[in-house]
Amino acid sequence: MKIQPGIGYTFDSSAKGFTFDTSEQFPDNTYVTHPFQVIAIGTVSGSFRYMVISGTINNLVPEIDDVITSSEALLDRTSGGLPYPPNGVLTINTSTKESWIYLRSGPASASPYAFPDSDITASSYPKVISSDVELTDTDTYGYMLLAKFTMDSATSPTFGTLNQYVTGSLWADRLKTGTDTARYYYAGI
Amino acid sequence: MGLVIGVGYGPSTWGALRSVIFNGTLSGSPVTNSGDHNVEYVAGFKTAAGNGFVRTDYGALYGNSTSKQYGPNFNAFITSGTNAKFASEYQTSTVGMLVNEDRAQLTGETATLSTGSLTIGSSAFVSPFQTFTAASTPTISAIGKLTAF
Repeated sequence: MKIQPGIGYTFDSSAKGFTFDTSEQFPDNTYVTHPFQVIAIGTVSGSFRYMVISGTINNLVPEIDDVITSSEALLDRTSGGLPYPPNGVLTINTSTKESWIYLRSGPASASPYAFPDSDITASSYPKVISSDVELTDTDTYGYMLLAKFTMDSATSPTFGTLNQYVTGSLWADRLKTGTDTARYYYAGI
Repeated sequence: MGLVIGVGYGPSTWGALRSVIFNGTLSGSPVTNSGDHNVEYVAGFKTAAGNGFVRTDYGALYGNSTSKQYGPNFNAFITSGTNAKFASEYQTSTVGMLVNEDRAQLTGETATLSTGSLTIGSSAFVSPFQTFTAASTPTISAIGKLTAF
């Protein structure tokens, strides 16, 4: 039998055994209110986990580095009895204790140069990432800030405040003029 | 008539209805690496104010302005001898690719050419376009209220 953390419950282990943590109330369906909603899970094995409710950018479902399977997984993964959505791990700034949750997308590097790249094996395919610093757009990637955590600790986080900035799926364009850095425009849908 | 954003053929997003202004006196394609929701403009003019793009129904993301005369543009060329024309050309519409509000903004601005300069008149936007004299084939290097790139 495998046990895994999910919405409203986590596990932690120590020399004395496992701790079943339900300090966060079990949510009902109304807890999930919109696409790209970021939800804190809690500390598991020393790392603070979060998840992102599935949404789309230009009709593509982003992926995330899933800590449970140690692989990239789509946000809408429902197969294999694994938790939905997959779980990411926060990368926390050691000074400010902040963590930025971005939707990272890039253009295809070969014709037809679509944005975002629809090749799921490419790094330019849309992906939700956690960063311990604020990121700025480049020609390679556009970064849309979904949410930001401010944690109680960078090294032993137990809880934090969460500010959500995006509340729906997105349409986006990438336009570049001359040698200027490409600019990315997003519209909520 | 309104245009539906985000479905099927035609305008897909905000960017589909925006463009830079092409420089018709430069050689080569003004657009590269363009695809769905993505366009890279090689050279041209962008607005000094705002986001750099002008409103048009002929944006590259709309799929119909990957050549200079199928998008908002300025061009200068010799017609015969030293007779030359300065023009915002159009091929598919007698109303051109620049909206009236932008034409009004650009009328009276100075266009700097390799052969001198001129003040853009309202005739530059309507065939048979604005006339001037030029000793050699002109190129446009600057236009007031716009930034060359």
